[in-house]
Amino acid sequence: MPNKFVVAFSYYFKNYYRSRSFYLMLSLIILISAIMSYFSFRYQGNIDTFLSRFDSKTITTGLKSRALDYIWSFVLVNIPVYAAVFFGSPSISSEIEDRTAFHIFSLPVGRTTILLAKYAAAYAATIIISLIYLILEAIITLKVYGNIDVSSYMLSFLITLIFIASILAFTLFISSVFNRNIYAYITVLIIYFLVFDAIDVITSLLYKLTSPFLLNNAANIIMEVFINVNLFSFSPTISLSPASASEVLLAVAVMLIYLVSSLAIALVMFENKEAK
Amino acid sequence: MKVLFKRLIILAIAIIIVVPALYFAINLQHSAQNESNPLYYAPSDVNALGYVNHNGTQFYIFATHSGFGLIFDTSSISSINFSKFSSFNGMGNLNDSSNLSFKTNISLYANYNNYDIYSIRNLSISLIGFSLSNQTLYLYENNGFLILGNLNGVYESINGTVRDSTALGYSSDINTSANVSLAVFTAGSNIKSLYFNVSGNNLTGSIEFKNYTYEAYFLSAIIKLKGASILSIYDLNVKFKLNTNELKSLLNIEGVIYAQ
Repeated sequence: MPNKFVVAFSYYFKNYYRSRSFYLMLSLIILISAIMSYFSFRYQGNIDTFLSRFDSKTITTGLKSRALDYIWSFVLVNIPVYAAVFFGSPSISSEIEDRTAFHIFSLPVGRTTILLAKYAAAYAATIIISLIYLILEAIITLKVYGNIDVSSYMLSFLITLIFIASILAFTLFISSVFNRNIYAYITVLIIYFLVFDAIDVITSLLYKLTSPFLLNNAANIIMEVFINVNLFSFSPTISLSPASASEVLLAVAVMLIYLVSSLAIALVMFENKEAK
Repeated sequence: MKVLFKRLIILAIAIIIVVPALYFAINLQHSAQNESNPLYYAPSDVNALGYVNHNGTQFYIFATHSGFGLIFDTSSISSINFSKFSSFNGMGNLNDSSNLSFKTNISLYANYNNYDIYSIRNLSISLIGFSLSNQTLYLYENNGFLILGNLNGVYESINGTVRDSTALGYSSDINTSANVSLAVFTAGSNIKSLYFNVSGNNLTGSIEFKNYTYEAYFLSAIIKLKGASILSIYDLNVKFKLNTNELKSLLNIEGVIYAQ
């Protein structure tokens, strides 16, 4: 099993990094990183001006660097979603649509091994894309302020890794439902950006609370570990302190629930798939 | 059979992980909800607890035997530079510190239990008969709430949250639909508890006395008061209503009681 897994993983990973999707995502991430780097230097003064509304004695360089990392993370939270849609959505449905399932299912490799290898390869490809942005975020913060809040950065980094795992598992689950790639792509985007947002708006309006069990809200913790500002509700909370430990743990628990349940359903669905 | 067994194993592993994670998440959400209640930042051993809704800015007040504090929810403060604080000066009976600004007076005082406490010098606030002038007050921030008070009040608030000994249990004693709501749990040797709510010009109150003598003094005083009426008397508990326009004459009650 481990050998078969490694062979399948290396095959699928090569498949990913040689694909046009990978180079498209790579180009996008380089472009976004370049824009963010330019803005970080160009508009550094704006962060200082905004924070100077508070007392200057209480505004440390550490806080300024956290504010900059918050802005970088604000952009980062959606990058794994697009990467997961590119790499995760077609992973199962494409086998049926391209009629390659005939060949794969007849191989002496278990379907669980195949699916986990696909998942690991998509995860590795998404990590490579996100790492470029994350490393540049640290470098630019150090360049601009000569200081980075290492514990907040590492926590944000770690949660990003967990979030990538959960959003990829979710896209794999959606992919296992459909036999056509386009449906898988569109469904993931609609669920994440429309359905989750709609539920959030309704709960915010009716119950004045953001739904912590939605994956998009849990993902916001990636930026809130720097500064706990939630601008996505009808009663925004503003705090210059990082998110509390219970908020971080809640977000991680939600990501873990999505990860395990989605992966389990995807595995069961994949076992049931018939090559057409 | 093998496939079925594999599916069962996958589902069993998923359930083993998801169910405890869900239980853990629900518990965490519950504690996060508690943290979003302003009374979470008041200690459990309060003598008095209050709520004020003044020109859209809402805040809570707590007082213990050695400390006091005001709890502001930053989401109810529309301007990030705390300009709403200066609206306190908009009331007619207030002092003239119209240039009240935290920006020039605030400085880091200490770090206590990982919370940064800031001191604010020369602060003057006057609200609903409660006034402070040229005081040094202290402030800390927790989950989007600002707790402003004297040093003991701030320490007691932090200790309460750290030890999970908070005033959340008193939520039902406060009426947040009123403009002002106050619950006093220790109000001298003759009064067991005192609650009142102010909405517009109407004040409704409830006093529980410790003995009939003082209840009688109070009743004889309040029936002389213009605009006041007794809603109910049940044993040592008196519920009453009065018009706040007549509040000035309320001050006479104290005189009448003591005179008697």
